[in-house]
Amino acid sequence: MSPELKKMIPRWTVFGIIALAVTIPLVVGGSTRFPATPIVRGVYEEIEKLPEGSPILISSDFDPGSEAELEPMMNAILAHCWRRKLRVVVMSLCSANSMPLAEELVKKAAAEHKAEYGRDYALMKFLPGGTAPILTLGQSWSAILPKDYYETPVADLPAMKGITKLTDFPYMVCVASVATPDYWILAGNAKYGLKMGMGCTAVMATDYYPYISTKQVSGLIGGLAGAAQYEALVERPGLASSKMPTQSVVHVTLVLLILAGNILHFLTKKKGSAA
Amino acid sequence: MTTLKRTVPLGIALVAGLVLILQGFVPHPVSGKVLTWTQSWVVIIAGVSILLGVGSLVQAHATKIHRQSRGWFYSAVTLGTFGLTALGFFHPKGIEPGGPLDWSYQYVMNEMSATMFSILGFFIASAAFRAFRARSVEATLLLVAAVIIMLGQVPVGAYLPGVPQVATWVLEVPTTAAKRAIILGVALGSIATALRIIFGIERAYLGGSE
Repeated sequence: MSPELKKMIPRWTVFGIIALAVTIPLVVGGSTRFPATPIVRGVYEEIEKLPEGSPILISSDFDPGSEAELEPMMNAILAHCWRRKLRVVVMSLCSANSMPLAEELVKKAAAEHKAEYGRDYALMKFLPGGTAPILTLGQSWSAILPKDYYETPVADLPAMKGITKLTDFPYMVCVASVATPDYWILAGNAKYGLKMGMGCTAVMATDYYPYISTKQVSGLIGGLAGAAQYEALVERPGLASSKMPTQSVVHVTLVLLILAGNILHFLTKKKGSAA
Repeated sequence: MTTLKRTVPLGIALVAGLVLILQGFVPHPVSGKVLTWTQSWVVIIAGVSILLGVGSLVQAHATKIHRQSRGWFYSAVTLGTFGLTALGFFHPKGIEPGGPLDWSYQYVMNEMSATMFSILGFFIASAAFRAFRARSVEATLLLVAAVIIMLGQVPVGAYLPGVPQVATWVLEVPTTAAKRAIILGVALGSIATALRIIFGIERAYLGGSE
């Protein structure tokens, strides 16, 4: 950045503009319906295909830093699962912080959907070790997860009925802010043929497009925009849809800032070369 | 000592590596049991490594405080909060809802993580404004692609004819092609590194100068 440009637009001006771009649409309110792309639809359609009462595994692999982006996604997926009367099993490979967060989010959603613990859903413990626990779960569930998050034997939970190994789940969704979808693709899908979909932060989404074209991942819900699309699919506008106006304004502001930066750069360069 | 420090770990790496490679090619129940057994070990070792991490964190920050190195105050804050959190474990309510650990998770950890992530948005905006320049053909291509993706990923993009379609194409074709090449390269590199470790050519993980 040229010193002249540096003087013209200080960093704090950019921060101020972004702060306004975030807060004004939030204060004004409103929500935008975002039609779903085929990639987001890929997760929705697989869940739609599951017969009533089927188990579904959700790997909740994010911690509080990504809660704002991934909570709406989890809510929409859980709403869809319980609307389809599926048995939801939630676990985590991310960090010791991810299961307490998952517990909080799932319990809140369960209360809203009148889902009962043990019957309609179950929470498992955090498992460290990357692909290793997935490989073990593929052989025997009880080998490393004999008890749930609250120390109840999984055999006593109706939600876990018929689950002896990973592939007893007809479908799983990994919602992640870290690279755990890699583990699920490598060990769950490639090794055991586990059918899976995923949701992740927007910044991670491009990393997983190759697995969609190879059909190893049925669909991908990317960031808040993906969550808003999923909310539109389940006809339940929520947190993501209400944040879409803000995201639109911030993205347009960023584009304008980049254009302004370029114009100012070339103007100062031209001025410099003329002198 | 050399036997314990070098020969035994190299032998473990060789045997474990070869057994697990062969296991992948043997479709027999015994082979499955070997996998379950060894993977349980991996989970246990990963759990124990958290303890090593804690030890390493304490040692690194304690040394920094002792030497009064630059930024030692932050090390003191880290160790102080670490100690406080550990103390919370001994509270009668421990990790139960309403207990000190639950409280610190809900009202400190949760909020601070979210704040850190939010601040990132402001720095990205500032960096994009200051550094995203069409200085060359490659930089211009990157800039145009970024603008299209940014607009194509939000509802407002739907009002710009062709933008969502071009954004989807950029993500599904050139990005996927480049990413696939990276994945293949990394996979081949990982296989080569794994073989080097199994056969004792790569010994950096043992520590020391070798």
